[in-house]
Amino acid sequence: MSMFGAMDTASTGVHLGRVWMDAVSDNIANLDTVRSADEEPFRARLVVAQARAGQSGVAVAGIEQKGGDPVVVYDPDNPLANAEGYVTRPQVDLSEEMTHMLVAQRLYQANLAMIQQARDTYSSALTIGKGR
Amino acid sequence: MAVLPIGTVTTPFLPSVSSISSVSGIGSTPTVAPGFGEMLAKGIESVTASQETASTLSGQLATGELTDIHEFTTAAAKASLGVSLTANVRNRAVEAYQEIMRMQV
Repeated sequence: MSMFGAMDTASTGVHLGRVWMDAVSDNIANLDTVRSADEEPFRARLVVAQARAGQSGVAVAGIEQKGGDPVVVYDPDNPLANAEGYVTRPQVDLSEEMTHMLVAQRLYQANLAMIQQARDTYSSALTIGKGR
Repeated sequence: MAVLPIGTVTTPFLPSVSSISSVSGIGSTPTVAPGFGEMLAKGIESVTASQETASTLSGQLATGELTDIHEFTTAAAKASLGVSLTANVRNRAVEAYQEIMRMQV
C-alpha cells in the first residue's frame, strides 16, 4: 500500500465506472441497429469487473456480449431484410441499460467522493499539532 | 510515493538539523539512522516525481491521449498533497530549530 493507497484504490473504481458508462452509451446508441436476420445481431456489451489479484482495487476483466435470442421482425420493405423479409433487432434492453447507466454513474460518483474524502483526510493530517 | 517515517525526527534534533548544512555529515551522527536531511531529500525527490507524473498527464489530457480524466486530477491532487507535506515537514523543522536558537543561555 503506497502513501495514497485509498486514492489509488478509488481510482480503479472510477476507471471501471467510466468503462461501464462507455459500454452503456454504445448499447443505447445501437438501440435501433437492425440487421438482416441472416447476420449476427448487435449484442449489448457487458463489462466484467474483477477484484485485482494481490492488491486492492477493481479491474476490468473483459467485455462480454449479451446472450439470448434476439427479436426477429418481419419487415420486407426494409432494405436490410433477408430473402424471407426478416430483420433482426439488436439484443439490447433499454430499461436494463438505463438501470446500468444509473448504477455506473453512482459507482463513478461514489469513487470520486472516496478520492475527495481521502484527499481531505490527508490534508487534515498535515494540520496535526497546529494548535496555535 | 514511499512512506517516510516521520518518527525519525524525534532523535536528538540539533545534530540532525546541522547535518543538512553538511552533506557528508549525515554519517558523522550514528545515532540518527536515516538522517533528517536524507529523509527530506528523499521526500522532495518523490514529490518531484509525482509532479512530473501530473505534468505528463496534463499534456496527455490536452492532446486527447488520456481517456480517464480522473487519472490526471488524482495525480494533481497527489502532487499537491506531496508539496504540502514536504513544506510542512520543512516548516516544522525550521520552527524547532528557531525555538532552540531563541533559547537563553
